[in-house]
Amino acid sequence: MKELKVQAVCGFGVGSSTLLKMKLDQAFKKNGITASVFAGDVATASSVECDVIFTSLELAENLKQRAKVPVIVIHSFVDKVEIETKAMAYVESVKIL
Amino acid sequence: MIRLENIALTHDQLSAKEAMEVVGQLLLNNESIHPQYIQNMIQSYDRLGPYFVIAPGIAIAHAQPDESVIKHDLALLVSKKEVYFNSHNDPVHLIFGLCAPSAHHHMDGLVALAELLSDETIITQIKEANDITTIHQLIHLNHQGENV
Repeated sequence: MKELKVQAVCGFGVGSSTLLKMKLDQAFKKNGITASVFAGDVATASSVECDVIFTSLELAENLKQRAKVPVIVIHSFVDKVEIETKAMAYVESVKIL
Repeated sequence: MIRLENIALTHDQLSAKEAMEVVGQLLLNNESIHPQYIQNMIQSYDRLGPYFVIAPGIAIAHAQPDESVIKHDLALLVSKKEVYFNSHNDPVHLIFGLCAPSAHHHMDGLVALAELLSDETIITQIKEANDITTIHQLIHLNHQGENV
């Protein structure tokens, strides 16, 4: 199975994106999905190679104009259910399983 | 994870920027940042919007790691009044202030913070607490229970 490259994006790639990265790691691991999740910043995110971007509502508006990959909005970076549901919906959509 | 002197409680009605200044002042009091870092946090809010209001009621104010940061630190302002950041996660009651001299330094504190923020019971208790000692104990209790 191909390893997913997942980018969690915030303003500078250091604060909230790291929180989101940890939650995404947990969600993928729980579901047995091999994914490499890394934090990124909004300025460079669209030029970094990845399969999908997860970010906040505010930054998604900015990113969607430039990104070549799907941009998925997470409303709460600490809501395990929201993050797992959206992460797995993405996995289903690319039929990687 | 957060020392007692890094916690503040306010009954004042603060704007988003005022709340960021108060939490920034805690970091400044510790000599963890230069005053410029507070301005950087506010500029980041102006430029990128309230994306750092990462969950209902919770903001993690921070700016880019640079020379305005002296050392890694984390502070918390609990506002009894609702603070509005113009976010879908408004109103905010917990405003964290985070600083790190480099991206690498952010990790340690954030793992513990992520666990704390995922615990709705503790978050509610922190919101309802009436003194900083109680808030400190609630954070500490959660941290101990983590088994890290």
